[in-house]
Amino acid sequence: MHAEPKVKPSGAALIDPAKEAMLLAALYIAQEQRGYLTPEVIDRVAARLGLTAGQVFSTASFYTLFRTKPVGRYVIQVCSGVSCYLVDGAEKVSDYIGAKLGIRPGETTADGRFTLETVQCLASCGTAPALRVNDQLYENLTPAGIDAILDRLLGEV
Amino acid sequence: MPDLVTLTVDDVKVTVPAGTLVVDAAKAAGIEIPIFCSHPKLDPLGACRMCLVEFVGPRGSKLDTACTVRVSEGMTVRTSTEQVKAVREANLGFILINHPLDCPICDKGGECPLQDQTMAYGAGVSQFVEAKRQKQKHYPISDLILLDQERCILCWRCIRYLDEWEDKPQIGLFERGGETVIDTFPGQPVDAATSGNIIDICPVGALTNRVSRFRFRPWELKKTPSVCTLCPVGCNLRLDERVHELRRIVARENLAVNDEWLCDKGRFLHQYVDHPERLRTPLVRDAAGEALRPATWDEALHRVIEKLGDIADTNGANALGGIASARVSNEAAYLFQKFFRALVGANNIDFADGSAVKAQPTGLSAIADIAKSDLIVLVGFDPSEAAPVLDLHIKRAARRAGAKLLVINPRRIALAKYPGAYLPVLPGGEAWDLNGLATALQAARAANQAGSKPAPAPTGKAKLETKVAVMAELRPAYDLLAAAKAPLFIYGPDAARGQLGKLAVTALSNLAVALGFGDRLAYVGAEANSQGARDMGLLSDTLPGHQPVTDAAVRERLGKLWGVQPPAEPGQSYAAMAAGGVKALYVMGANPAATVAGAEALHKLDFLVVQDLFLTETAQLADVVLPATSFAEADGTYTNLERRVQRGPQGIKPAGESQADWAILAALAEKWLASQTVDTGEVSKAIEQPDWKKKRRKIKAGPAPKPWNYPTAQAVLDEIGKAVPPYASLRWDALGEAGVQWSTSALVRAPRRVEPVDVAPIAAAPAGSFTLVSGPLLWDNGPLMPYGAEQVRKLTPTPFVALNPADLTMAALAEGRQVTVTSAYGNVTLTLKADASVQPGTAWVPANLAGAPAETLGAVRGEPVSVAVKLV
Repeated sequence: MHAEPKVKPSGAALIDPAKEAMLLAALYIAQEQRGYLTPEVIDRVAARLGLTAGQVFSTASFYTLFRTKPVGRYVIQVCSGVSCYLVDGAEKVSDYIGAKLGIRPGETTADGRFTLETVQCLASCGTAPALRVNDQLYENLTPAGIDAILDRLLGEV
Repeated sequence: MPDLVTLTVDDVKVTVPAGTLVVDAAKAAGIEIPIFCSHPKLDPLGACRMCLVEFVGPRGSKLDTACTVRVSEGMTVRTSTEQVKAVREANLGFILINHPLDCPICDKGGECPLQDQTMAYGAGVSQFVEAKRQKQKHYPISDLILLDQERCILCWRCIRYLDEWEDKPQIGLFERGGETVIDTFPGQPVDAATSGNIIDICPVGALTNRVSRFRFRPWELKKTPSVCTLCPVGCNLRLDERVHELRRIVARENLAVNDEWLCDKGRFLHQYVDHPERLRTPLVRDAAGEALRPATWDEALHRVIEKLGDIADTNGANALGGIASARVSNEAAYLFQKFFRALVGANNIDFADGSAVKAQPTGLSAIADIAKSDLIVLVGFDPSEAAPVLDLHIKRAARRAGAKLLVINPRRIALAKYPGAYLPVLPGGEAWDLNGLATALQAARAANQAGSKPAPAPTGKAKLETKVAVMAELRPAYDLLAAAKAPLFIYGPDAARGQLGKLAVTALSNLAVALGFGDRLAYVGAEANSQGARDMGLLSDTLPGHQPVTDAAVRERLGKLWGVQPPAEPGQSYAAMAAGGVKALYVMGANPAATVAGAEALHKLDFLVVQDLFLTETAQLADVVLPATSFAEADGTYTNLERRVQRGPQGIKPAGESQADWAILAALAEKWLASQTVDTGEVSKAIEQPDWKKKRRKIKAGPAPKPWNYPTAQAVLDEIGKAVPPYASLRWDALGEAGVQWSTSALVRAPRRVEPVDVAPIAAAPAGSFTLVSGPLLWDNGPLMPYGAEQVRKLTPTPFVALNPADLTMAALAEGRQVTVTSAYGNVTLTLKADASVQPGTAWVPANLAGAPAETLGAVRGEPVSVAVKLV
């Protein structure tokens, strides 16, 4: 057995775990109330938790499920991470959906129903290509599968 | 002794303390492991993967990051295997995928770790053919720093610095994956007082210096190790010169002083050195007495000698006085006081906050002691504004070592947010609270030490007061002090001026002594070389080496060195001289005419000499102006707040004909001495001599001063070693690049003991008016600030007065309005601000703003001043 090294507190010791732990929940609540996270909302969350706006925005922008801009009713997030890219999917999937809806990634349809986004990694690398519609994940995408998803959503509207 | 661990790095056996990181252990073995994100002063992270090395274990070897793995006994590390080389090449390939190839226009080019490591460890060819990512380029994240997101390699050093050292996590990592960028939150620029350090530690050109941007290529610079002269911390820095211009200042490592940090003032305020308004020739007032005209050094110095001599002959030596700045070098301070004591024959020498402040002679025991303290008591001292690198050390102690802070200040300063206690006081009221605490602690100590010598019992009145006080608002402070095992006491000039200040310092000293830590009490002055100025005896009542002028033995010792003994009578203070106590005044680097009242007093002088960098308000009134060099243009030593004597060598050619302060004084003294000798004919070999050169003053009866022979600043320092006992061993060469603390053992001091303090509470300002509170602001309008770069100048706020928001509401005043602030000493027009750190009933006007509003209102008089605030 090696002697246990005497380690000084690292960066983790500086962060108040309580504040950090509440951050995601606070952002969820704020987004539910406001639809998306405006700079004012981020400032308010930061003030309530005693964090800087930068820290809050850092977390909000990291997670694809938080939005910092107004979006459509259905947000289609197409993964453009490495696995999805390598199965030759990422660009084709977003191009295919974009052509069907008449919008490019980052845009919302004129009727406010769909927003198309490309996102970095949905943590679904084993079942690439993948996309998400609001909180629902769809994997192993094919053109037919995408048609089915969109048709169902159009039916729901 | 820490536990030691022995490991093998590339067949080199090395023994290091347990807990050492492998990257540092390898360095100790003389083996360099390339790094980007790792930094000796930041917590380990392992973000860049550049330091991957092989760890050999029982089941073969594996790669891991040397910057996060700590050593263990018997560990075997290999840093130069084929696998490690391949990984480094691949990793650099990844880092360079999106790094722009704009090295030819990048400020970092030539001193860039990414460039250097790509040369040393890179593949030499790129496999990458795709387009690089486009991100935001060169846009400001503050007035002082530009960010180029394309160049950033996401090492997190800037993020970690601002979080771990500044406790201001203002830069964050936004987005994720390949889109990750560092940035600030919109509308919230970086405003940390030491933000510039992130430029130094950035391993690429992502963060660049807006003041020095595009003004040099690193390989063209002449680099001179020096020290900062803007505050008493004395941070080590490097002067980067090119074509006779100071292009940039960067931090220089000194682990005992500033680690490798600088504050933004020290880093960015340097353009004054090359400013077009620098005085470049001596000036003398013309025959009509109206304008200042350029003159030769010979003429100007003779004018000074002649006039000073005439006034001394007519009115006596006591009609002459000298006011200096405590920013000047030890050599200048020493020769200044010697000029007056040995040649003029008066002790009329002082600096602002000099003899008016009761200072501990020894300063801080050591900056390193901050980290070892469990309680740091700050009385009338705001390190965040007055000494930002000390502020870093204190915040570090509070957050890392669990030190508590006891803040005693009229304003809730930034450091008051850390665990501990904040004790609000009225200016001048420090003594009352400190005395209450000291008396209570003495009583408690006496009660605990039954059988040992009891402390003097408090008198009936004091006892009652103490009891009442400690039961109420003093309780948190009392509890902190009573529980402290290693307290450190630091006070600043704002609590120590005048008669009330003397009481406060005595009470604070009693407090420290009562706790058994009388040697852990430190005074930190406002100006950079305050400690050195005191060591040199730049005081009306104190000789070099902190000995009173009344000490005959010291006078005799100095008399042997100088040829003439200094006078035994204490001289006039700064305030007395500036108020007309003398007929002729010699001002070196100070600006007493900054206030209208100060200027009026100087008008009454018969003769005024000013030695400075710029034509200050005071210089505009002068009869003779002598152009002096900045710290960067002349050799000199400076003594910081922990008594560390440090070298500040010349790093750039002086502006115009300007000369070092000490050299001007030496030249002046030579002429003074020459004017006193009998004209033997040998001296006057010049063909055409103006009349004033032939004039000779009568030789005074008694011993003659020894000749002044100082070919260099080092020669002056040699004499300082003889005049100031603790400096005896501090020769220029001995100081090295890190400086040397002078030893307190050479200083004869009175034993520290409890002295009675007779003090009354300070009455609050009458209803409808406020008690004036002043103190330092980092970005003030101090002597050099108006000559800084534009980005630096705009950090100084428009002159303002701040009230507590509740007071603002109560007085029906609105923020942003223009108000007239009136005291018994004057009135000023200021912009009104609301500030919750300002205590109710007080009005905060920072020191040294444009037009000197706080000084005009009487803030530095060392007595409570009440002010009225009315809408214009």
